Amino acid sequence: MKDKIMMIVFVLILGTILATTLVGVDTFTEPMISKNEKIKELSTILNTFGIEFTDETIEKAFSDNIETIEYAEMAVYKNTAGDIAFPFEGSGFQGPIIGVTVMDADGKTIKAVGIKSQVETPGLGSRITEKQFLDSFIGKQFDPELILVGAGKSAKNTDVDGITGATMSSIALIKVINDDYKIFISSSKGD
Amino acid sequence: MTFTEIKKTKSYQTVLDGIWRDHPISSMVLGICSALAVSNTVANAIAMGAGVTFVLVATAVLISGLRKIIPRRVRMITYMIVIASFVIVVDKVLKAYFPEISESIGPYVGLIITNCIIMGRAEAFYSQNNVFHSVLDSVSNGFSYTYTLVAIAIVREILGFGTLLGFQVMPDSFPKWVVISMAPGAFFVVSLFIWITRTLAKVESD
Repeated sequence: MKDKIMMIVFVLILGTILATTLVGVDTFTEPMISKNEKIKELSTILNTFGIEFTDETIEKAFSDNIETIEYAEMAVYKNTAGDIAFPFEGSGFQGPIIGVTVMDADGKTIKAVGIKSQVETPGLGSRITEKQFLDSFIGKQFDPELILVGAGKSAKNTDVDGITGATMSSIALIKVINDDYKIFISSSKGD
Repeated sequence: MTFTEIKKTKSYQTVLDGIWRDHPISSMVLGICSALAVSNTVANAIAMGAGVTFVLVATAVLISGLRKIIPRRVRMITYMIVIASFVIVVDKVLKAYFPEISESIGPYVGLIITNCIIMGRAEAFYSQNNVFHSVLDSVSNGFSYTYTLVAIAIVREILGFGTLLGFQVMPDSFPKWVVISMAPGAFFVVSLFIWITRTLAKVESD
């Protein structure tokens, strides 16, 4: 009997100490963590649009330059020149890929692609974040969708050159962008 | 107290065990997984070392403080819960104040829970010694872990990226040894480290 009481007392003491610690830390860090996430999200959008900012002016830069349009299925971003960006999110080869695509006002031609986060294999799949690869999307058109071809083989303006060594991740990225482009088109037409 | 007397005290022995004789990585071969994974850049190594040291010290205080009332039957699960809670603290603090480092270390912060150094020291030392000696032990073990990671990371960052703490130190013409910054390179450098320190330790004991 004494054993059982001691066990309960011990669990109560340990539980109280740990719960207090965790709640305390959570209260302190939660506002900072959500602020960091917000900055990360805004900076991906601003960088992809090519708008300059610093950490202090980021919110002002965003509210001055970008207008957010909420559709039922996705929120899109419009800059002062009328270019529209839609976010994309889906599974890559290893885990989620999240980013944003900036479209020309015609809604067909890509102006820029930015990736906010990915967890592909470092050194191989993670090369989808390299500037050279993302820049190769500029000027490509959805007709009706993007097609991944082997490195250096793109012939039409729907073709995107893959990266040797990052084939699976490139395929996944193109699929994610194509899928969310369809949602973007159907939401903006239904508007 | 003369130095010979100090040498005989338990505190001195504890510290010496922690930072040299029972070196967690080279002598006990604990914590190897994270030593291999996170030692590619010096910044990561420092952050990881600080995180592990913090968890070690906090665990040492709590476990040795409660050691008389921890029921023996549930001691392992107690260590796990205590370690896991402090790892959450480290993870949150990194996310809040060092978001970039948090992102580059990624899942390895959570994996501090499975770092055998902490579990091993809790079972072998903190559950049987008072708070003062446990803290000494945790600080010296954490220090060993950190300096080892940093030493390995200095070699790997210079050879693999040509930088040190992000600053360019090698000339532009230096061919980067990419393999050193990837997993196989970690095995080469860590085993070299263990070889060198073991040889030195043997010379000393002779």
